[in-house]
Amino acid sequence: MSVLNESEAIKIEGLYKKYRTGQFGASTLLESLENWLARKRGLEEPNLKIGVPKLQNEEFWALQGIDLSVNEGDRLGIIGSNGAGKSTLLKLICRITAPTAGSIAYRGRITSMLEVGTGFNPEMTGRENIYLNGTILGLTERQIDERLDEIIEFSEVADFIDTPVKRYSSGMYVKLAFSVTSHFDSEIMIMDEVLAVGDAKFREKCMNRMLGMAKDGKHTILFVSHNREQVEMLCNRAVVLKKGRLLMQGSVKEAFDFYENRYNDADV
Amino acid sequence: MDRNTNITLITPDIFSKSVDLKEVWRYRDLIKLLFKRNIKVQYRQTVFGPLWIIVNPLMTSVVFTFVFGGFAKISTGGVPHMLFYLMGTGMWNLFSSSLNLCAGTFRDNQSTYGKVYYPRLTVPISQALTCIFNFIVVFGFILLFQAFYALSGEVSFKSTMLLVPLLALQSACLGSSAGIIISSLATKYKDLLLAVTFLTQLWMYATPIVYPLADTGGWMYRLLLVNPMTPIIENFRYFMIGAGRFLGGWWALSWVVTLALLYLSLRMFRKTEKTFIDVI
Repeated sequence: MSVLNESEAIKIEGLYKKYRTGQFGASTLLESLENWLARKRGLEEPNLKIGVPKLQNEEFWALQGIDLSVNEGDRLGIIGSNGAGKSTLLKLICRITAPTAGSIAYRGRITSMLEVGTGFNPEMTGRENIYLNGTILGLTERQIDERLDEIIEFSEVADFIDTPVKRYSSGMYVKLAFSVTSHFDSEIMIMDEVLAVGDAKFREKCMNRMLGMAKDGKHTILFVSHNREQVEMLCNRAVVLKKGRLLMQGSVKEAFDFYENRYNDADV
Repeated sequence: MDRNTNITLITPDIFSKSVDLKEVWRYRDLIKLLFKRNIKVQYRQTVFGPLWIIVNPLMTSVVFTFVFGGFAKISTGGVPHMLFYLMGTGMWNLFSSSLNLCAGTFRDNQSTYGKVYYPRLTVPISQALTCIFNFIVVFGFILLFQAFYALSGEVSFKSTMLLVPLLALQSACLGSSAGIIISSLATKYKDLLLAVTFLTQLWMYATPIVYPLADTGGWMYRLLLVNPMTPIIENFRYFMIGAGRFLGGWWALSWVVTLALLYLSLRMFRKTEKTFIDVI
């Protein structure tokens, strides 16, 4: 069982996540009943695919045995090709879905900036959505009151703050969303290449805000990216994932050298 | 400050324990906002706006008055038709809307549920509260109608009316519990969501909405009594205007069913929220 050291923010031990691909054994209630009846009568289940052994059932490991410790104030870059398990790892840390085995322990709250604008309701105004989003992230109304002005100012959509967000342009939408998430910062921030949004000027503003959080020593940051330049700017450490395993960890430079030169040959 | 108090531990069985009501309570501001959102969004950009809350039961009652009272000549046990149907549909809608709204919990919120963690139970709770709010509005109208008929001496107000909140609470609880169970099962068996509207419709006719319980007999009477909604509807009319008969024992049984379903639904919800996003 994980117990955090005094200096640790996140500790992951022996983390596994199993997924199934393709069709499941049954997809309708009727098929389930058929299967259940057949089992009761000791017959072969009628809805299993022919030739597929029962236990395999098209399972695969999205994560297999991840051990990772992140210290407070660390900014960890997470690198890996598509399907390496990066998003699965973040989903587990964010408690979106439960692991198959292993454990994660962390201290404080987590804010994910992976999906800015999550929980925005198109019918509601910008202001109402700020409150909705904030409370979803676990804040109280009073805490949101305190930051409201700052959020609106940063978002650059002050003139439309009482307009339903469904009338926003996609740029405005993202600006407001980024502003909301980045102002409801918590001890642990999970970031993505969210910066590929808005106009150049706003992108720079976002990057500066993220850099500010990265450098103040109060935030522990997990940053997922393929962009070497951005990871080098934000992070002090990096890990490389492949097929659900952690291949190596080290400095950002070491990790990228590994990723760019030896990744494809690496055995997992 | 003890830094170890705010440590979160995630393991495969993290959700298997009972529902963390303390956590839900910490998110009460979210419940409040979701509740407000439901009410606001419900009728935004409609001409009649919140009037729709009463238009639905009102129109249903008018139709019932014509069809069941006028054509089919089904008795209402001496109660003015309009009032009889309005009470029935008002209380029934509280149940059926809680059921239908909660049944969609996992389906309708998968985009948010799949991206950020917050106690998932806040959503069905806010839905149930919305239904209760709507019922309160409808209840106001029932009182108006009742006052109208009281003027002509056809009905009177009973002090047992004070017990109505108990019935409303139970109705919402029963509906949400059934809805949550359906929602949990429906992550795997989508058939259920297609069947739910149809099934609630059938259930309605197996509840004394358009006819009084007293007019039934034999196996039908016994079947109706087992239906946990029957004592709620019958007692509602009894508490309000003294119509029909007070069902004490059956009401107690209906509470047992309600609480059992509530417990079961929380367990199933907990089990489903753990990995439903992998399945849906």
